[in-house]
Amino acid sequence: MFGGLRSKLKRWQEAGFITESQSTDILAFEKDRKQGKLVKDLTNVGVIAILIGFISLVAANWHAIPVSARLIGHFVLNAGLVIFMLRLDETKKPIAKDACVLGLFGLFLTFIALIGQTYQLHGELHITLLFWLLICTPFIWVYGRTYTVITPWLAVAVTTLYWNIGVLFEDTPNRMLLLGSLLSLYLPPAFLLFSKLRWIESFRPGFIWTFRKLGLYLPAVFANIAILLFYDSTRSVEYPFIQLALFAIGLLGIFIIFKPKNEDDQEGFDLWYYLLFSGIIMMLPFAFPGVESEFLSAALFILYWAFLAWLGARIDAENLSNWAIRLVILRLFIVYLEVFGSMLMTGFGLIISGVILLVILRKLNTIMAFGKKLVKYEIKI
Amino acid sequence: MKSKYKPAIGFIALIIPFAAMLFMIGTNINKLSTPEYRFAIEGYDPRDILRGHFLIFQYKWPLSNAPNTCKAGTLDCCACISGTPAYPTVSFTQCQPAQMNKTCGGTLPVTEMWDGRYQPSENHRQYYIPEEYARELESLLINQPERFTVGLTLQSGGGAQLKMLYIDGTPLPQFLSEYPKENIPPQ
Repeated sequence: MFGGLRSKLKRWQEAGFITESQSTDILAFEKDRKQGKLVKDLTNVGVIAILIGFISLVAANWHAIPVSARLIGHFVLNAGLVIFMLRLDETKKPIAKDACVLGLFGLFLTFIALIGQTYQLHGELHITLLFWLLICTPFIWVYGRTYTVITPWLAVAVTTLYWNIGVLFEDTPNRMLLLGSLLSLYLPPAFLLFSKLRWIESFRPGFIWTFRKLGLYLPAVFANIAILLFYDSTRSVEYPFIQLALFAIGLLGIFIIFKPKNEDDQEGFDLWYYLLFSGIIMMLPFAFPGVESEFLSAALFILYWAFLAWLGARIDAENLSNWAIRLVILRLFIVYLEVFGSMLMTGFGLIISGVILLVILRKLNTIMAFGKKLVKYEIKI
Repeated sequence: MKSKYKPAIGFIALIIPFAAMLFMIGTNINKLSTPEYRFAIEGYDPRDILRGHFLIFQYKWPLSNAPNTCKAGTLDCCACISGTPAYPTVSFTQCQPAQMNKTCGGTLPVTEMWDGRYQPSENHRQYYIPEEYARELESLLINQPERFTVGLTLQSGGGAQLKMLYIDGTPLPQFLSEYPKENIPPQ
């Protein structure tokens, strides 16, 4: 078990990084730690085996369990978890406490499902999600402490919001589009601002990370969805002027609120550019509602991801730059497929496509290096 | 002041979901004691293969002599359920709650299907079943639909809810506990 560590310690000792006594101490420390860990892991395995066995017994005899026993059983399970959670000392076991809150969040969904199944309620899923969210939100915010709890909660909240808007305005798709698109512009900056509030810093500092990350990722998601809208020209909105005005107000808000106060604040400028550019991309399909163009969609996609590659180079996020450049290359290949799609039906078309794909894969590193040079050159300018 | 109210807020936050669950159970528990109207059903074809947990069916309505006042192609159509729980009758009429409350024991919004028959929404045409019995029960429903009935409970403010599925007059859970799936008895 310690062969790997022993040989590493020996190498470090020979290289003069550690002394012999330090090497012996490290080995003894790791041995103690591993022994404790083994006992802990085996205990966990035992507990999980008991739980799985219990669940299997219940599942195998589910139809034989009386309705009242199922409901009472679930109620007791939830109440038991609450009692267990309240007894945990959050300063000593914060992760365990958050796991309990998350478990309770999940158990209330299964409880709703059980009641629905028992009484054949057949409720709509979007209403069920909304109901679940409403009844669980108070305890999530009172007892939750870290991203473990707030990340699933926020994912459910955003999904429920969009889903309910979709269903509520099912008969008036123009209004659905108006509300959905505006929400896509306003929601991410709202998350970012929320994560900066002093209140959340003091009340729930562990929640900040999730709001900030979602506020950063969502504009890219929404901008890409907006780009896809150019594939369909039937997105005419009821009040185009109002829609554009509301978009413009949102962009102006971002321009004013997120504009860095300090000229040296590069991170602030990067965020500002990102939010503004994503917002403009989101607005374009509604500024030109009648336009349907695969070329425009492709060009905007390439432009947007080239911008993200440039941004990645600015903030030293090499992964972002690399993936953005790869996506641009992939999109260029898809443009070829879109343009010469019919040619694919012939043998020549397949051969040409295959050759292009092989060249792209073979020369990927060269193209990537060229892409990186380009984005870095832009920075120098 | 903050610490003074903290336990109370924590208590309320935890009580809300439990109270909501009890409310849900409380509002639906009456269904078990409300008289239910029994209707014959038959299989629905094609089967939705994604719904292995549900038995999907359509109603064989016992039609009354009342004229059908639903306009063809309209979505505003209701099944007016009257008669007694043991011998219900159904007529189809435009959904006008004020008038229907006087003449109907309960109402159920329906739509005209491709074959000209009126059926309620999918929520009232599917019954949760244990997945391991899905194949046997479905086959039984297709081949011997006369053995199946469902019970609907009518609500005071209009509307109806599916309460139970019966095979040979026996509630489904009891039927399944009496017969393992390999012994689901032929008639």
